Amino acid sequence: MRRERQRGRLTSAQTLTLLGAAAGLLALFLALETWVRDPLMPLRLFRLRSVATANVVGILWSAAMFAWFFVSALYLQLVLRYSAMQVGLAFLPANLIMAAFSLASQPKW
Amino acid sequence: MRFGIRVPLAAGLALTAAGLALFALSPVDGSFALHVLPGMALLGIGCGMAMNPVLLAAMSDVPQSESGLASGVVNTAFMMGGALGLAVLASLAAARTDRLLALGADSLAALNGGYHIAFAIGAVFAAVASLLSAVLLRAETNSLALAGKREQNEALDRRLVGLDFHSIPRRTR
Repeated sequence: MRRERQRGRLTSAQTLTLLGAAAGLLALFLALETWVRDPLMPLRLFRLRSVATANVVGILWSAAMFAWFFVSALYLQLVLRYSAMQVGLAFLPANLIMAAFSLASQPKW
Repeated sequence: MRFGIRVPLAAGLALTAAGLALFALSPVDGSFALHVLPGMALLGIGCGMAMNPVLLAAMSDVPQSESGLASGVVNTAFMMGGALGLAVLASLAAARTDRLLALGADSLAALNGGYHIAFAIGAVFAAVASLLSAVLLRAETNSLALAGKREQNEALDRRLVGLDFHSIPRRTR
């Protein structure tokens, strides 16, 4: 596992090239959406402050969340030596609490 | 919504940041009750509180004809943030672990040190998100507009939990 890591390092040529290509394609997409008359994704939507804020918040939050799911499972398994079943059960309280609070914060119309 | 959008969103994200910060302090020989459960509980409360408000904020003030677009965009933001965040934070954790190993730390401490970096940066992300929502969202949402969107939002909820993910409509022209 450790030997394979060399190729996929954050600063390897492969990673940086792919990241650069992704950024270039994103810029191209934004430019096209600005130029064409009837864009697939009208960028004026982001002029609404609530929409723009919610999307930035969504990106930051999900970045933290997905990484937490992955890394905390690794922590439980590799550092605390939990079995796969124990890792699953360790996540259960968080998910039950999440469900309860999500239901409790349902909008009341 | 009983508490509006801004307060539960900012509070939920702050609790998420606190839970991640607890994980960033977890020791090599941590116990479940002392070092795992508190962070899990904070993350559960925080994410549960923040989920509905962030979706409502993403849809608020959007004209009805573009609500499908707005829901698709926030879905994409979640997926993109998740993919990027996981890739970057896991890489940083691996890099930190390699560095600690090279410095002569034992393998468990090195692994744990790498994970700490990922949790700490995740906590910073959540804290920044909390701050942004507290500063940039308006305290009051237009409840009339929200009431008019009830069906739309229910449809959005169904889509976002993945029950009929492929039914996201094209923008009506």
